Amino acid sequence: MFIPLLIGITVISFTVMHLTPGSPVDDFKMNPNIDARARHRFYKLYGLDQPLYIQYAGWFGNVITFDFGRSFKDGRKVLTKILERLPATLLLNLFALGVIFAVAVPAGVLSAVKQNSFTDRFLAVLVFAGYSLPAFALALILMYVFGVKFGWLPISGMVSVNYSYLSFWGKVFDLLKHLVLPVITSAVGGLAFMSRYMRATVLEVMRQDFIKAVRARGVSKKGIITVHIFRNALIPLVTLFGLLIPSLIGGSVVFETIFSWPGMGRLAYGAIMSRDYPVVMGVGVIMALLTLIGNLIADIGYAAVDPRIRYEK
Amino acid sequence: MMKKLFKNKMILFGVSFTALLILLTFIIPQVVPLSPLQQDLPARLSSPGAKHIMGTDALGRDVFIRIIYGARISLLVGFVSVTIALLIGVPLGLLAGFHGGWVDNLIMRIVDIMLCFPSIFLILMVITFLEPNIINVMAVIGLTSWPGLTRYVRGEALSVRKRDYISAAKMMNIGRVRILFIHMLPNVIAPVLITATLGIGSAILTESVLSFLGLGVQPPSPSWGNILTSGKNYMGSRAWWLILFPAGAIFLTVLSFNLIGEGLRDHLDPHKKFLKKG
Repeated sequence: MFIPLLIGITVISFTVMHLTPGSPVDDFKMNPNIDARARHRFYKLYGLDQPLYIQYAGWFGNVITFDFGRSFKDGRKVLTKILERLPATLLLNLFALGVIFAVAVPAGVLSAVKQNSFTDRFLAVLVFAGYSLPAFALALILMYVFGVKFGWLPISGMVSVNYSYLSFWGKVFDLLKHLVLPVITSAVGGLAFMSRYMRATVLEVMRQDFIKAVRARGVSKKGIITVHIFRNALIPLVTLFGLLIPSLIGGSVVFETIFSWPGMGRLAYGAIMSRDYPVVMGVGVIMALLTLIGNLIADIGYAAVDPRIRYEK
Repeated sequence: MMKKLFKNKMILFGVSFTALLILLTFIIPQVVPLSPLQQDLPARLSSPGAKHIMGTDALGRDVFIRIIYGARISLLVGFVSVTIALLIGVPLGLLAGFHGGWVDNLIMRIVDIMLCFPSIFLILMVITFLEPNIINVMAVIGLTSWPGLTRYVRGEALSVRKRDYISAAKMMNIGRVRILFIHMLPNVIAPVLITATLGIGSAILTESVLSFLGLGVQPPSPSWGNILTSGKNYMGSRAWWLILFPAGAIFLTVLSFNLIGEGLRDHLDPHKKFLKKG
């Protein structure tokens, strides 16, 4: 399942990149020092004169060994460029995931337990608003309010200019300060989705017979919720984890660009803008790979938390 | 039926807001002589006031007028791209669910692959290489948003295909295409309608993101996304109206479509209702 999907992903991204008009050599047309012959040599150097399937075969052979070639822009290795950006993206998304789980799970449980109460209704409205909120516009509003108007939080980059002069804890604090706004905006969409799902799951678990049985045994309400309901409601949560990953990673293209966050998403945006094929393809493959890994973790976690599920050997 | 639908407050709000917006996009250009490109240079970057109720941008253009003209684009993109997604996604889903076997396998693997990609990344990739204009934006959003729909329709089709009336139709030697569209489609139309309504909201959202990144509707044509871009650029001048109003417009519009979708779900999807009763 994993391998064919990955091949399909590479085929699609490769085709898309090459079917679209424009070529990376176009940039040199503006440069008076590069004549048509030199341009052609570049063309050949990059292998762009070969038929598509040969280009693909060559590229795919390299991809298996994580060799994405060199960037058309600065000649540096694509993998190096991605690897130096990857930690920033992972940091941002892990924090976002943390926020999503930390807020959505209690919120979902709360609104399910107090079903149809004022709290439930209020949370439902919030969740619905969160669904419809354009996160990138929210990012701008937050930037304006906290960054420009009150000046409490930095609005771009990952660290301050004086970062290297700070003490260790100063560095950590500086980084956390830069994380606040990007993390909030990345988390909003998933937050709404997640808490709503959590509510539905908890409601479903609450209806089951074993909960009635536990209640009949006289277990306290708190005990029922924390031990019996919560643990059973966790199961679908694990699958959702896999679903959240692509949207988070896709979102990082937008949010990293807005907040000038030096991650993979911004690298991708820049590469797309300058038609740097190898970088775009490399980022595409890594993104899809992260998504697949997320799904895999979800599958494994699913089997781990739910004893009823056993994959056939 | 209609009366019952409008009793639902969610649908009522959603439909009223959308209707109001559509009405405004027709009325305002007739009533107000300002064009979205007309500049009032002495009043550059003026905050909301009597003359410009939502202020002006850095080139002195009226933000309210630009938002109204932008609404045309957003709504158009929403409807057209969802139509494209429906035209691809529904037949494929029906086919996969009805036919089963290798056809089902092939279609669903393609769907899986498409869903693996962060869709915004795929869209960005394609749109940069095409001319960024409204037609391409609609096409690309439509062409990348069908997989979820296909998965959904397939599921519904699977549950319908073993029903007696389908077997009866097969026995009567009715053609496959006819079975798909005349006998199966009406039975899966309710969830499709819901998904499509929700899809309009997300297409509008995607268009605004693309235009915001400079890959959608190109300036000077107004779009909610590119008004926000100017809001970002003039954030230092504290031009909050360039951010708040377009953001609000996107939010309310997407909210309306989501409300209609959810309201429809309450009415059309019996399973959901069951869940709600809890």
